[in-house]
Amino acid sequence: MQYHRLLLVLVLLLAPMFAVAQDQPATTTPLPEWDQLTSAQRDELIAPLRERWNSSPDERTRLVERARRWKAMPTDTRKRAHHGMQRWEKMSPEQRQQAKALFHAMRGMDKAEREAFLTKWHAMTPQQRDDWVAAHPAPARRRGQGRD
Amino acid sequence: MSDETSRFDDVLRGHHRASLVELSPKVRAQLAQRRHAALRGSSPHRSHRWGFAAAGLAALCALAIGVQFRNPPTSSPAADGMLASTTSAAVRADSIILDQDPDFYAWLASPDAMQVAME
Repeated sequence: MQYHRLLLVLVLLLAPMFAVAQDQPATTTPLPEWDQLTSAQRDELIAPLRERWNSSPDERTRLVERARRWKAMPTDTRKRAHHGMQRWEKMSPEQRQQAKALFHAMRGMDKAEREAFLTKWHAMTPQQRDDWVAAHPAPARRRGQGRD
Repeated sequence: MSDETSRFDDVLRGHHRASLVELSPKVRAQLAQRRHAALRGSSPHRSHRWGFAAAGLAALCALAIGVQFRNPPTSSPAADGMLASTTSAAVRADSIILDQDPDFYAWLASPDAMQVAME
């Protein structure tokens, strides 16, 4: 009887240890710094970019330019760009088309012009907005400029 | 006490704290009840048994921690699994991060762009 009670207490004490060990991969075990990864792990992480680079020779200049721009961005702008990227990811093709048209239309405007444009935009019906996007498309992408 | 011993103690205490945090309230209550029951009915003979049990448990914990130290995190199956999921996330991010002008992405999260809700 004593032995059984002792065994039960030991099991109860050890159970959370096993639970912790099982949870660790998902919650607490961080992957190491880049320099501590094995070369196989680095290759695995780089593989998608390598494949894209090799399969799209005419896209390489654009990829380098964008990578440089990301690197040159101030931290807060980069953080904002990441949020924008998440927004982009959730958009439908029509919404993306509209976003790009608006970006290209507004990027050359000063503050007063942007405010006037936004007032006008808010007054438009959905159909009028669609018509505006059709009339003011974003510049066509040259071959190799990327994907939507 | 050497630095290594001190570090080992710290790690051991850390694991102990982490294990305690993981205990559910139900298990904690059961343990408390059993501890009180054991203390109420304890005899010198039983105390020895509990002492041996505690020593055995400590040895078991030390062994488990030692095994963890010997396994480098980079080559464990858990780390590889995490790397696999990270890689799939990297594939997804790569397909988007370099697709568009970073300034366009930054604009999408700007107050101006937020005013023209497209979604």
